[in-house]
Amino acid sequence: MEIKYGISKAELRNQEEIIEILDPIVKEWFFSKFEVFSESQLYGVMNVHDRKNILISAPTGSGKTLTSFLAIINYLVSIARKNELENKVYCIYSSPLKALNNDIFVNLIRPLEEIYDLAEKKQIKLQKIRVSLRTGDTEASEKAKMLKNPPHIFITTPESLAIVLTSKKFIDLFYGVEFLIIDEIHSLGNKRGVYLSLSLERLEEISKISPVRIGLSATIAPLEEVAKFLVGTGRNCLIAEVQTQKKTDIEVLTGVTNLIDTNSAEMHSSLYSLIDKLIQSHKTTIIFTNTRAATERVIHHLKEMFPNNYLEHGEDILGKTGFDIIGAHHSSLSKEHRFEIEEKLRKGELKVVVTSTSLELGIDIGYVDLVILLGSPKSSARALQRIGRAGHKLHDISKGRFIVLDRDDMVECSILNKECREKKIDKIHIPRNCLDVLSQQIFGMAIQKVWDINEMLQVIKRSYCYSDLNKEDFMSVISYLSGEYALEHRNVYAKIWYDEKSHQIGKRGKLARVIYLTNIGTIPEESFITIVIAAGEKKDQKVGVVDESFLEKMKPGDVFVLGGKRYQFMYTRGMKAYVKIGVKKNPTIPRWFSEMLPLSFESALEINRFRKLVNEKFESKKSPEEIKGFISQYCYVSNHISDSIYNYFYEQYEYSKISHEKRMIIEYYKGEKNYIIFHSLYGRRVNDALSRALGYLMGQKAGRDIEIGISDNGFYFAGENLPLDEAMRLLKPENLRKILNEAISKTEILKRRFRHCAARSLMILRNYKGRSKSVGKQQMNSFLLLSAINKISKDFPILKEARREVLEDLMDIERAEMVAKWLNEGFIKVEKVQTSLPSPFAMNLVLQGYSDLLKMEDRVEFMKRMHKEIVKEIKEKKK
Amino acid sequence: MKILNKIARKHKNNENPTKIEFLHDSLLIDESILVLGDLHIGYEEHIAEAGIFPRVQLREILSKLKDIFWNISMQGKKIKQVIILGDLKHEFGGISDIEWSETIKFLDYLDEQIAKDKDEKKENDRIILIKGNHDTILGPIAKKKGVALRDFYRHKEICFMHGNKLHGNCFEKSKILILGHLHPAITLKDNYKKEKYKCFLHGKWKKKEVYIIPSFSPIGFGYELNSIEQSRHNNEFLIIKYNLLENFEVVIYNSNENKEYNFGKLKKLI
Repeated sequence: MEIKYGISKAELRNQEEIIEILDPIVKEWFFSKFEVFSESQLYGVMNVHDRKNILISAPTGSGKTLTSFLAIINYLVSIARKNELENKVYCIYSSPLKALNNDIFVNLIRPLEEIYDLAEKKQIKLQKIRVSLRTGDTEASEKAKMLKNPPHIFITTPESLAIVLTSKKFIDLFYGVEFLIIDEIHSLGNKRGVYLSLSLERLEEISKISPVRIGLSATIAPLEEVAKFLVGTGRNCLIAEVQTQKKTDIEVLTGVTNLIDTNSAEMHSSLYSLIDKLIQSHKTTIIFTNTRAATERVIHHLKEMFPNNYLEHGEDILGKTGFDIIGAHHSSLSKEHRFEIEEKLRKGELKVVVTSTSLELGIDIGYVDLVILLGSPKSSARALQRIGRAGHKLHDISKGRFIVLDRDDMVECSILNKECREKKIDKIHIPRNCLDVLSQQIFGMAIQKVWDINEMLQVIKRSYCYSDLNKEDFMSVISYLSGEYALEHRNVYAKIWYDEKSHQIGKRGKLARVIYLTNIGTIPEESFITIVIAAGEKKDQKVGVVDESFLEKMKPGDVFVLGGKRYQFMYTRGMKAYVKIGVKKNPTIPRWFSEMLPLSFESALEINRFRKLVNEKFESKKSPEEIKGFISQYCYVSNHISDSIYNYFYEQYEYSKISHEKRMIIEYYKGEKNYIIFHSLYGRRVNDALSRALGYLMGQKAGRDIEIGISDNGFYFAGENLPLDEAMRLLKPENLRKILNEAISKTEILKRRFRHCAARSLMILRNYKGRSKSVGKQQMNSFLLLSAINKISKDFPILKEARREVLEDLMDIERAEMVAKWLNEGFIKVEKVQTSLPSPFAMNLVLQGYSDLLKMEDRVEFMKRMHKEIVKEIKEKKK
Repeated sequence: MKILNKIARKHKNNENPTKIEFLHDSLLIDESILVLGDLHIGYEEHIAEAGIFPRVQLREILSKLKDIFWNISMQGKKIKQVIILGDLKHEFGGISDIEWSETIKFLDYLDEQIAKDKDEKKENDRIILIKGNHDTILGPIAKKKGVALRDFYRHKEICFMHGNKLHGNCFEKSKILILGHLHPAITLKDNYKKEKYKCFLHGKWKKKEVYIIPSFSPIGFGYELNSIEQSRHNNEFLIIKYNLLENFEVVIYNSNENKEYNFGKLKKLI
């Protein structure tokens, strides 16, 4: 059944209309601060006033937060004036950021204070409008106060909202919620967003009034889908796309003239010289590095190479002399540290902040006049979001500089630069039908009250993320939660009860609420291990951090790659792993991708299109000058960059062939092993899916393990026996999902995702009876759990969800099916080439090393093969 | 047709040699005594700790046993006695309803399968329960089922012990020692991959022939002997020190073809 949504464009209203609806005090206050209504206010205020759902997409600094509050403040003031404010929550505002005090202060608290001052001056009596903030950090005493004097405007996070939805006393305050504001909605294309969408429906169910929903978003696409996500099934929503784009000034830079022939020491020093020069010629700079490890590296090198530039010799406020004016901000740093950095930024006490991704969101960071993107941000929406951090006010110019690190990065950043300038935005992915999130929410719903099962399903299906949830999946979650899978023993671990006769569902166990509250949330827990050099000149030097689960796969002696260098693992002490440097051996542990952002599919297609255009010019023998001119015009890059791109492409063209929009080059190369390299530039999410499916088909045929390397720009296979033609024949868009479901069944990635899903669905409790379980312990338990579940049913809902998450959220099966279709129908032609050295485009991929090993060989076969080898060894010794 | 592998043990001056065969995760002695250990019934519950853990352990244990009994009966033989080498159940502290009922189900199943042969064995000798370090409060169940709980057991020249304590008298009088407790497993690896297998250890210690059998539990009981980090912790765990185990031979049993694979001495695999 097609679900109908009424999505339409909001219209710009005029100033007079809005003035007319404003309460005299609010009007007076507004015009004492502003001259006119901003564009987003012209779109939003009237519609909120008229109780129409609206999604407002506007760049940072366009006043959208105040837009959402203005009509609400106006409404509440008009009631307060009549002394008719009820003891209830009128408005709920949810933001994914915990640290939003400042934003709320500027856009809500201060305006209210000023309005009250004004009223007092005019001797107008106004009832007090109360505002409360509740996040994970809120003290218990504060929470108690809230219940005594309920807030009219309730500011919260998705997690805290879910918690109050199980509290009887809070629910009593939600009987008439009139407004729901969802801020930073562009950052909710994940399970956190899915979770929130269900909470909103639960709230809708509790409130006797259907609240108006207001979504606030940065530049994002497609707005229609985000609007549906905001309002839920079958409701109407207006979309306001604020046209006033911030002016941007974006360029692509390199530290050196030649990215390929320069030695690494020289590259290194010129890169940091360039960064330093940029920092010094601006007031405050933010550098985005994508990974936590790189963040630390950049700070270390800047301080080492230019010690005087990053240390303030004067006294700080506390009278301390000599303090850093460079700081790090990323998610594995403590909350206190991050808060201090944000505070210093606002006060203008820092020259530069280096961050992985954590400063992307709208935390107020004061005045920043330059954003450096060190390495590709992998998507145009993200690039714009980051660059938008510079010049926070609407009419400031946002200045951003891409600094490229290698030749693939250069091409990618140049195309992203083009997309940013032409406002081509990649698409958000919103996960659907997540069964782990559903389990947690159903448990929460059962704690709230006893439900009729059909009524419960109806509420769930109103969320956009579950609008096409099928009854079987829903029932399997109910069976799971009510303990049916426990097999021989009834209901020992059941979280809920379900009575088939009365169709009722309720919570089970005295501890249900405590278990729920202490295990709520969707963000997986990870812990990190610091990698430290064990001996020699650089003894005790930190080289980076890795995920704890990555370390667990390693045995002493294993070689792994971190930040482009090889290390041999020696031993661990606490949260530190000691390693040997200068290792020549090949890695024995696959490269770790957990931190790496995937290239967006849209940008990948854009690069393929660009490759095709350049290739045509080579084929029609255009002059180098003409082609270079074309490149610099097409990508909006300097001659220096277009020269480098020209050289890179020309080398590939001369040596082999260029893979592009209409043709896929498959390169056969025999090095230490047999390689088959796919020049498949579709981003890692698509490549992951395609390569694993093909690898699996080959491995099934050959019965041996296959090494597989995956990047945004392609993938390769290496192994003894690679029957590719047969695998290509078997791979069809319609069977890709089936093949992949089998192919991932034994992989590390499925085990890892299963752990996350098991925690979200409360199969494994992170906290129980006041004790929290270490990530390592969770890992071990989830491993045992998975092997037990595999023995029961492949359709166990949480295992099914882990597979869905791998295929749809981690990989991009939908687009992979699309590419498979293009290949099948000949829209993309396959051409095979043989090389004696990897071609220039394949070089980075081969150098990067392998990502995973497809274990195709049966366990028993492997054991027998190893046995044969040992027997042979013993016999040889005897000779 | 499945064929059992036989290793006939011939000891000099012994007219009635003991025959010991590898069979799944257990040993078959004189074609009629089955030895298994470290079942850790109730472990699932311990892991779950109020989360959700589907219960498969007992089901898997029983299906493995069914295989073994079927296999033996196909050869026209009968199991007359089952020796459990300790750690029948998992929990140290108390005994839960589940552990209780599963342990009973398990013992009932064995009771059904063991051949009734009143002349040869006394009723309560059909199942021999040796106490493991986890079996602190197994007494009531054993009593209920009329099974004696012992610290060790002797059959001809063999002494059966759990492995955490040395029972001197039994040890002195025997030529062969059969132990559990360690849950031996081995990781085989080549350049790329690693796989873990449960295994038997077979070697000499204090002039006795020793067998250490793997855990019979289907979930995750395998102590990786060739991981140096782990074995360090383990030094005083088993009555035999780790460095002495290094000279033991590693045997992996492949139940698909009912065949054992001898990988030579443990130290070669480290």
